[in-house]
Parts: sequence; structure tokens; C-alpha cells
Amino acid sequence: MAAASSSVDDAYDYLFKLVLIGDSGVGKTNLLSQFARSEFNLASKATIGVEFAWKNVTIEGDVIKAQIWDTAGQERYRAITNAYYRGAVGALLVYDIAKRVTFDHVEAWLKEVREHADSKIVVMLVGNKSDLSQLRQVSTDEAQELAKREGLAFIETSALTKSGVDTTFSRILEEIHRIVKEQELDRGDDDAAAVVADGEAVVVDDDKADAKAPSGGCCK
Amino acid sequence: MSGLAEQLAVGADDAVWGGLTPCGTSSWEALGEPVLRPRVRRLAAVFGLPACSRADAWYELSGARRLRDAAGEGVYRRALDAGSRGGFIGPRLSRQVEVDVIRTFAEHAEFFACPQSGGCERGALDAGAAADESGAECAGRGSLAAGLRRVLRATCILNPRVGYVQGLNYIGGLLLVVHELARKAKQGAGQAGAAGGAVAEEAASEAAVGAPEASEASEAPEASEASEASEASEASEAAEAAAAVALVRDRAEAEERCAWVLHAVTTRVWPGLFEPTLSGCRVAMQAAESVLRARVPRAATALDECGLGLSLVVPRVLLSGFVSAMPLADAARCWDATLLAAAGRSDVDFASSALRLGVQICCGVLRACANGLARAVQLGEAQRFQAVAMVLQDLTPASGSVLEHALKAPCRLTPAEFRAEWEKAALAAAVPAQRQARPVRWTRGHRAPRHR
Repeated sequence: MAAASSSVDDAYDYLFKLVLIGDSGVGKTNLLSQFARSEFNLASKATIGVEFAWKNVTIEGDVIKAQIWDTAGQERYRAITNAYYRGAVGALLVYDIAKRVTFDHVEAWLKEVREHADSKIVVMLVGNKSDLSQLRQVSTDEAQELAKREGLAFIETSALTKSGVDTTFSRILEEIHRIVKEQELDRGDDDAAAVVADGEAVVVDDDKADAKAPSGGCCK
Repeated sequence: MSGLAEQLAVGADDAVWGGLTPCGTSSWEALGEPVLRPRVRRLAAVFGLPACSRADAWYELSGARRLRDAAGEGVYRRALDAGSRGGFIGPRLSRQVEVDVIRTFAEHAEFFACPQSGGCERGALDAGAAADESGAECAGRGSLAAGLRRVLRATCILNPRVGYVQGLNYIGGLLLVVHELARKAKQGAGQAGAAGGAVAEEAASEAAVGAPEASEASEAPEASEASEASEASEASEAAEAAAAVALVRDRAEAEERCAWVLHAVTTRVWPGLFEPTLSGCRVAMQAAESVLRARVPRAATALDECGLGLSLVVPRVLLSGFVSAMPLADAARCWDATLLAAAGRSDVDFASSALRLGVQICCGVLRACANGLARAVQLGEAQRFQAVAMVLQDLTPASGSVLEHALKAPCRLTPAEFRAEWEKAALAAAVPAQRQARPVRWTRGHRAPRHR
């Protein structure tokens, strides 16, 4: 099911873990497979447990390895996905523009992320299935409003047509990259430079993020 | 892609089982007694039950028949009616069932489902089932997907506490395929002489299954077949009608049995696993992790290296009833082994044995992947995670040997070993919020001190 989009042995400068969250059936798995492998499967299976994908993206000359975790959407599964948020620096909170109720649950998901993930996690609101415009139940304005209120980035996508998919991932990765760079500058430290030179991962894990993240969070 | 039923039908049934269970004629009556003998039970655990006897065997072994008898007449019918109106399930579960029904085995013709809005040409596999009046939403009501929808909704009502958990769709789907296989086998054997209806039904269903591919082929042969069919139709019209009625009846009975087996799975076989807090699943994760760490350290180390706990594997293996972790035929064999291990025991031991097998199979899955995991870990840091994740995601290359690994050292657990692991895990997994949800209390485990 999973396949690396590029050769396995490529080096990278940064490793960013992203999580995909949102109600069941909003298209998380297909968003991921479109991004990582340019695949869409109308009959995609329900995700039980966790699945992964990864892809290398270059931002400002840095090779970013995006490691993306995808999980079951049913509320009940949150009981066993605590570990899922550990070390995540970004979250894509997906809803279905043609299913009002999935948008109504966005706030609950936000609460979930804020409880379990690092407080500095970058969250992006993603309205998927934009190809179903004739069935739309959530207006762009309304979602934009919510995003603004909650301090989230926002985008509409279609995993079917791939519209907006690459932009979604590149925007969130750029944002994270910007924050990590800022942190390095703030610290002005040689450690980070040395680590990067070695091609090792810089993971913004819970402890470090608390220490070095700039105040005010990520999403202004 | 071959049909799901065919995937299950393959195997060395005849060679292994010989004349014991001739497909079609045999059922639980033929198999029931011998299967409880230790030697036959071991045979079944190693080779799997004969495909066409599974439906009956699981119905008995899981305790579903007894649950059904105890519940009394009409309980399922009422659940079904309530379920078809969406009553008592609540919008959230009802929606969740719908979301999952249309993507369960959706790549297979038997299941090809349809959105409620219609447009389900491929779902309408079975003209016979069009007579079914039980409130299905769309023309695809003859497909197994429509049956799955009914089964899952009814199950929600039979056990409102558990309701529906993602993963039950796969177990329900497997059960429906198993029953469909048994129905066809029985029909094939029972009506071989009285050809008419059965043959017509088979042909119709065959044609419907083949339709997507066949439509691409040339028209001529189809046309001639059609005219032959119309000549024959006068003679067989009555037989067809009778067959259609029988089909609806058999399918309805199969669905009811599936619902009761599913009910038995969530209440008797693996109690606690599907609870709203997934409490039993968390205990199973702990227990499997502990066993794995002690007995398959290679695999445990590999997961540790990548920060990938068992949290990823255990829910996928158990909550989907093995189905999303391995090929369907292997999943069916895992159920054979699980139910046989528990068969004939009293309630507490029954669940304990079934859970023990579940944990062993989780370990077996990882044991089967251990080499791949160990290789992956030797890669450089940059590649390690992908490589391990790929092994975990795939799991399948190691299939076939999963059950074999699960049933022998180092994954094999004695009942006492399992009870000790489970109790330890239950303590570790317990969180204050769900004290009452502690899945099973092993009273016997307390009473029998172990000398080790």
C-alpha cells in the first residue's frame, strides 16, 4: 500500500512529521496518496490503525522529508492514537465541503490536537472534495472565518482532481520550515548548523519545541 | 482480481479433510462432533476449517446460535426494522456505518456498493434479491454491501453499548463472504439434480459478476446466449421464481447469522475489545507489546528504533478481525484457530482463549515480519523509518506463515502465561476514566497460584 515516492536512500536536511485528522470518510487517505504517489482510489479502504506516507520536498534549498501519519477517523479511535501526535510539527485538519457535519466537528478535532500535540503545532484547515461544488454544504467564507478565528491556515482541495493538494502540503511545510529556521536564528546556535550539515534529522520534538519555539505560536 | 469467495475457497480442503466433510452436504452436523476432538481440532487449527463448513462452524463455535436462541424469536427482525429506519443508532453511528459500507471490499464485484442516491448498476448483482422488501435504499440491495449495511445496523441495535466500530465492517464483510460461499456450495450440491432454478440463478449471478468485463467483449455470443435463455425461460420460469424466493430467504437467514456472529464477537469472543473506549484493545496492545519484547526482541527493537509502537499493528490486526492485516484466506484461518481454541470452554475461559489467540496472532504477524524489520533497521537513519513503515504497512509478504508463527514458539502462550500477561497489561493500560470498562476479569487466574 505504502510506497516511497522517491528512492529510499535520499538524504534530507529536515524531517517533519505531519498528522492527518478529521472525520471518517472526508478523504484523508486519498489526500495523502495524491500527494505522495499521485494516486486516487474511489474505493479506498477505511484506515484501521495508522498508515504512513512520506515525500521529499525542497524548500529554499533545504530538502524536507515529510513523514505523514494517517489514522482512522472514528471518534472512538482517538482512545488509542495518543502516540500518534507525538513529535508531530504539523496537522492537516480535513473536512468534507459536501458534508456539513464533518465541518461541525472541526472544533472538536482542534481541541483534540491542542490537548495531545505540542502547543506549537502548525494546524491547517483543509476543505476537501471541492470537486463536489454542486453538493457544497460549507461555504468557503464560513470556513475562512473559522480558520481566522482559530488562527489556522485554510485551503480547499480536491483529492480527486488533485487541485490544491500539492499547495496544501507545500504551504504547511513552508510554514514549519520558516518556524524552524526562525528558531535556529533565535538561538543563533552552531548546533543546528552542524546537525544540518550532517544531514541528520532536526525533529522539533516536544521538549525542544517548548524551549526554542518563538512566542505567539506559528500561525499569525 | 478474483472474487472474494474464490479466495476463500482455495485450499487443500479435500486432501486434508477427505471424506469427513464433503462440501455442500456437510454442515455443522457432520463437522460439529469431530471438530471438538483434540486431534481434529489441531488439524483444523493448522489447515483451517473446510471453506464450505465455516459458516456453520463459526456460527456454532462463536456461540452466536446460543445468543440467538436465548434472545428469542423476532429480536433480530425488530433490530433490522429499527436499523433500516436509522432508529436508535443515532446519526453519528448511522453515518459511520454508511461511510464504511460503501468502501468495504468495494473493489470486488460481490460488494460493489452504491451511494444512497442510486446509480448502482454494478451493485445490482442479483435480480432475485429485488424481491427483498426490507427497506434497502437502492437498487444495489442484492449486493453483499447492502447485506453488510443491514448486518451492521442490526448489530448496533443488538449491542447498543458497543454500537459500531470501524473494523467491524471488515469482520462483517468476511462473514458475509463465508456465508455466501456456504450457500452456493449447499445449493450446488443440494440442487444438482433439480437443475432449473439453481442453474438459472447461478448463470444470472455469474453474468452479473462478469458484466463489467463482458461488456467490452463482442456482442454476438452474448446475443445468442440470450436467445437460448429466452427459449428455455418458459420452462424454467416457475423454477426461477422459486429459486428467487429461496435465494432471498437464504440470504436473509445468512445475514441474520452474520449479525449474531458479529454480536458474539463483540460480546463473547473478544469482550471489551470494541468498547467505546477501546479499553480491551489497549490492554491487548500492552499485552502484545510485552510478549513481543520478551520473545521477539528483534521486532520490538526495530519498532523502538523508529518510534513506532505496537499501537499501529495491534488495532489493525484485531479490530478488523485480521482482515486488514492479511489476505482474506489467512484471516479466515486465523478465525478458525481463534474460535477453535475457545470452543467448548466456559465463558471466562472462552474469551480468555480467544483473546490469547488474538494476541498470539498479533505477535505472529510481527514475528513473520521480523527479518524484514531487522533488515530495515540496519539501514541508515535517513531510510530506516520508511523501510520499517513499509514493512508494517505491507505485512502481507509475510502472510501465510502468520498463523504458523502464532501457534508455535516464541509466540505461543499457555493459558496461564496469557492470563498473567493480560492482568499485567490491564493494570498498565487502566486509566481512571474507564474503571468499569476493564474487559474481562480472570477469576480463575486469581484462584490458581502458579509455581514458576
